[in-house]
Amino acid sequence: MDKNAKILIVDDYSTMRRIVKNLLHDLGYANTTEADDGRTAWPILQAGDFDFVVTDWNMPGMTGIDLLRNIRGDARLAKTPVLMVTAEAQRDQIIEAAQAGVNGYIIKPFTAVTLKEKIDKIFQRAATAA
Amino acid sequence: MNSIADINNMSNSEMASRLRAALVAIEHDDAEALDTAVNSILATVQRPLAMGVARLARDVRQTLQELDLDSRIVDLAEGEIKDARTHLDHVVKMTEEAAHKTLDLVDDSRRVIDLIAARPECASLAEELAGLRRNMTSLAMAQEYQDLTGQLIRRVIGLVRNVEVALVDLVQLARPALKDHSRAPIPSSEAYQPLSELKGPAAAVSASQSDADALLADLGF
Repeated sequence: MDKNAKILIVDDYSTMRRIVKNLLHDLGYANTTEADDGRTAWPILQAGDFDFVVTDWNMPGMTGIDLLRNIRGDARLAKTPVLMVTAEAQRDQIIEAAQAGVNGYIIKPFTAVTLKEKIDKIFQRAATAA
Repeated sequence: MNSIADINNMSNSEMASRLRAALVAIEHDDAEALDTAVNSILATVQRPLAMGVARLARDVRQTLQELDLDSRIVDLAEGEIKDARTHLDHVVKMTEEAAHKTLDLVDDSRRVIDLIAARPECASLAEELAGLRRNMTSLAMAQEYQDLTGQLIRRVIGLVRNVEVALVDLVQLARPALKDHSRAPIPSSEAYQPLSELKGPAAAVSASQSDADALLADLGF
């Protein structure tokens, strides 16, 4: 994936948004935007051409799983890769996210190595599919 | 006033006549009459339950009054429990501020590391600087605790709020004149709110990242 890829980070905790943003910058992805829940993320997504979304699950307003479903249900955004980074670690939830069309699932607390692995895998698949 | 026994006796005779009415309706294939009879039987059956609940409520009210628990519960609900919520909120804010301060310092340190790394006379320190940069990443990652502890604390705040509402309801049951009490009851905006169905950060048993990866692999990811 192009290092200029436009990435949206969605999390209700500002510290977590900052951590993910810094990690993405370390990996060379500097073109990031932040939103504090699905509801604020949705108009931002519709207004801009985002290449990738990193979202938390449990957020007030609109949860990450609903944001994911909205993305998959929108003709223009449907193919945008979505990585879920969440503390929700129940088997049923991982299956639910997979069924909703998530591209990667990271359980908090996570490491920089895990984030890199998942992003590389998602971007590799996107490149193969293109 | 009828005793419970009187009402039970009355219910038995009522029950017999209503059952007879239902039988007659069946024999005459009268759906409407059968419906009426069945409904009246149900009403008879449910009456003792309603009376039991009312009696229980009266007993609770009486016991609370005898023990003078109501004023203590009001103090607890409107004083200490409310304070507990405020304290927990404060903990979330303090940890957030501390995490941001750490992240500010990490950002600044990274900037300094980059400045040093760019100086030709520091070329021999490349390995050490790379190590320092990795440490800064680990320091930033460690601030994840603020999100995870924050989520757990917010769940506890929700639980405490519901206990608070339940206690005030109990006091109102014990003393209907609570509205005249000098302390105002909890505003309706703070009414009972169901806790999130999401499990949140794992306290004990949950999937690890490798479990999640294995599960997703099974699902074709």
